[in-house]
Amino acid sequence: MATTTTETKMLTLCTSDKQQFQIEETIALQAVTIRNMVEDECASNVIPLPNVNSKIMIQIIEYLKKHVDSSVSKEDMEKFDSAFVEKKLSEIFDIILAANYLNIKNLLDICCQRVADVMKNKSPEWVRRTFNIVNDFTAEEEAKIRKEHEWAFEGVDED
Amino acid sequence: MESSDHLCSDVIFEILTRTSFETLSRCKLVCKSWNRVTYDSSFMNLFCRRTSTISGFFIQSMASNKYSSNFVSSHESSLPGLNVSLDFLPHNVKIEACSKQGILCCLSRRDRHCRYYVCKPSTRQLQSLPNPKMRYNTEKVAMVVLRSNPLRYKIFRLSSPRHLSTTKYYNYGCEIFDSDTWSWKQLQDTLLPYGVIFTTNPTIFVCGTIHWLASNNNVLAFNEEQETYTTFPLPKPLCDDKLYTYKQLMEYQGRLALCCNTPEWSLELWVMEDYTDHVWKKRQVLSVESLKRVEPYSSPTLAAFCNADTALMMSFKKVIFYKMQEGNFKVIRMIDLNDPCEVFAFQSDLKPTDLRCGG
Repeated sequence: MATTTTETKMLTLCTSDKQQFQIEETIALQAVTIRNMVEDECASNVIPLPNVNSKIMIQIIEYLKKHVDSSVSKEDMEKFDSAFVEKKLSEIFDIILAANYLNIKNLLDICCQRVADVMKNKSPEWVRRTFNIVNDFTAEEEAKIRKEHEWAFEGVDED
Repeated sequence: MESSDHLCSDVIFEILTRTSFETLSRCKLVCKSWNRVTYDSSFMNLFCRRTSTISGFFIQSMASNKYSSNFVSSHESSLPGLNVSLDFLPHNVKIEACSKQGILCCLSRRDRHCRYYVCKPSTRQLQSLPNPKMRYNTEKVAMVVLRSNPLRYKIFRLSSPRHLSTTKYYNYGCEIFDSDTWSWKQLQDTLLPYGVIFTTNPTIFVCGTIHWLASNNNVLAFNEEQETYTTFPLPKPLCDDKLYTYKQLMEYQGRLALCCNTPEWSLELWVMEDYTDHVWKKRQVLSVESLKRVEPYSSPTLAAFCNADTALMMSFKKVIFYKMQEGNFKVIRMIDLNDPCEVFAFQSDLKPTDLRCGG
């Protein structure tokens, strides 16, 4: 088998806290936002990512490195993905924001699925707290809607 | 500041389309914007595909004394194998009511024998029920699921009116079946003014209350929990029966709504903005001129909403999915559809359920 002798092209990503990450271009290009920047040649050597901090970047690079490897079987990839999202919800939210900004669809999908799964037996009050949402229903409105959806409240975690 | 503050509506949309039937139901309570998202025209489409949920309508009509029903999916891209039918039910079965969780109450009739059933079409499960008092004909039936696991439901039945000569009322018999006690219970008669009957309008369950439209332009509202009823009128302008025809009670974005035809090939949609004080508000007037291409002679009637923007319309031997914003539509021809027909909104997951939960 022939091996390429050309040097692997590297890209430098600069996060919001001014940390620099040198990664192979093929890995970085999985992020559509980065690919567009490179294609439009609006990025020189260093690609600034002001919306991503280094703590999250490390995790995203870990994800991208795995997913660029075509030798990984589908089964192993699924195993990796499900282990990858075993994180605190606040961290998942940060990754979602970054994945949304960087436009990495698969990563966004598995993280959204993870949040949806955690919500499975949670009350609306829990959801409001976790997502920092203000309840803008009046007490009366809420009671009316609640009555209609009462059937879905069995087995919901106590707050 | 938490990062979740910044989750944009697209991400919330993504997350909610990946939940489950029950979780989604609870999420409607979180806040107004989440509630609204779930009625977005593209939301249910994606939700159904991602969570293997069936969403559509059973359309029931009658020919030569025999009921037949067809299922139409409200989504363009329904998954293969996600079609439902009632072919596993006994002969000549009539859908009496449909709960919002995909469980039907049916009546089968063979010669003079009647039998009530509940069934879950998506899992082809069937359970016979004790019969209510069949001496008086059924007028209206509603089915409400109170708990998903273990399942608990109630069935409400109004039977045809008797007139006691000393009063000015029609006495409608009222019975309730509770799956926990596995028996029917007779309630006090529901009294409506003399001569008031029910139209072929659907049963609308919103705000914990069952609604039926009566012929005197009043809505009979039956509180499921307290087992009491009240009546309240339709918006005043709509009580003119000459101008407004085909009045249909329906649900729009989780609210009680009313749609009717006007003489000018348009539809008026009224929504109950404030349920406590029964305040109706005209939401929009919808021109259906574009439908003249498929139905030149009589204006189709609006039967139900699939979401905030898509309406299901009934017409001669066809049903029409009508996009209100764009005014475009999709026609499904149904040769065995006869007038009058009944429409039952149907949404269901594919999980088997113990239908004989109590008793």
